[in-house]
Amino acid sequence: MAIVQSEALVLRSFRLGETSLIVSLFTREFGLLRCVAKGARGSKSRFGASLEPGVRVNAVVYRKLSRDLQLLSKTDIVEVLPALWEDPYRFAVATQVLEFLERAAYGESGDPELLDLACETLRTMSRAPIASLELIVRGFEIQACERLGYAPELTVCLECRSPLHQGGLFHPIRGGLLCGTCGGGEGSFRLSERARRVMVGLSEEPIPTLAGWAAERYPGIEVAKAVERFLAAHLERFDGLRASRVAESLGQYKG
Amino acid sequence: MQYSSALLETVITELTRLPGLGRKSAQRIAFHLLRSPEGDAKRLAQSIVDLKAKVEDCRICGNVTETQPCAICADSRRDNSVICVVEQPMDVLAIERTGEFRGSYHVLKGALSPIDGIGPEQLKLSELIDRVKPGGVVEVIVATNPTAQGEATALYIARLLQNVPGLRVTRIARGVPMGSDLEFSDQVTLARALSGRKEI
Repeated sequence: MAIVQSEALVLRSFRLGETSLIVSLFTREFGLLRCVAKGARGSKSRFGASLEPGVRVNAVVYRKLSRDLQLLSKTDIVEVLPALWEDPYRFAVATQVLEFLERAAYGESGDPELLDLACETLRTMSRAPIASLELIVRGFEIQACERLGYAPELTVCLECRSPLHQGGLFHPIRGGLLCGTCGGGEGSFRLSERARRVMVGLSEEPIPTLAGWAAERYPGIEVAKAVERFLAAHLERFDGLRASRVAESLGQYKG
Repeated sequence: MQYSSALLETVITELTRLPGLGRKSAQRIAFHLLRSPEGDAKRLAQSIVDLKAKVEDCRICGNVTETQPCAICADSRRDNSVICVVEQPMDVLAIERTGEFRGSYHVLKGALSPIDGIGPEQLKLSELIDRVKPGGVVEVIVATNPTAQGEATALYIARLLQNVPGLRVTRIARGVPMGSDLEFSDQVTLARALSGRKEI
């Protein structure tokens, strides 16, 4: 057994026994780790607020490669964004980032860039206008897909490689757009030029700049359909993010 | 089957389904029951059957009860104009232990947890509105857990009830627990304790 230390983002926790928690951490060095935090629910727990979702911590873990569940020894808060918890809608949208990481990140090798992307997204969400939150989370999802190695092709036709200027037919399983000449085939659907340009922007722009986009002109329904179907086609057992459905139900109490 | 008795194996299998009980503990309990007097085992079995048959949710507050309404809701000495909202029936017990609260309760049966898909529809929120809307309630104290989920739930409730005339929605204080040391408190807990400070 080795004592290891790593920066990590707390994704979620489950209750374990009387006072303990099982915590999912997305760590810089070791990827996704599930750890037992003994006594974490007690009123005098040494973990305090460090195991709340979305908190960035320095975690000390007793790590044994043969075990699925590691033992969390200590956490120190590096960054906490209480603004994420101070609005139910903001909290639900921010949780989409955490749920995405928990369901999409595999293996025990770290992905520092993906961790930085997630932390930057949460930071942006904590101060962005409520209306921009949806496009920020879509930007995160597209950019995270790129980090994980399966970004959608949005600039040229998947078949003939000709540049796209008038939208196209989005094929989630093939992983991007096809031009009108090549045709999309079964399972494809039309994506307007506006939505295509927005998705290109979401994939290229730094996350903090997305907070300044004009949310009222954002083609949310089209982009959501394309991103969600793309994720469903490329992630195992993915039928949409649960947090996304909760965010929809909280929408009427935004801000 | 590991044992010569299928019945013993069945009891062990059923016990391992309980939270926090592994197979070893289940075996210990099963053998203890086997060795204990018949009356003890029968009382335990009957109490479990009675629990499932007779205990239900109070139709007013959602707390667990054998009578309708529960003893707290039926107690005329309690102040029904103040409702304390908690996540689980266990939280009612914790607040009752303080002996400080003489109002009534409302049990939500959870908290908003987007990652688990728990939204407002999964909580007993419409029942809370039904209790508050007719009037007569002057204060709703939100005593959800001091976690991200509990905070989000508290704010959701505050927004839900913000237009009810004459109603005050309050949140229990959060901060440093008694008997602990400031030195070991994290920045979130201390910040909350400072922002919620009171004049002495």
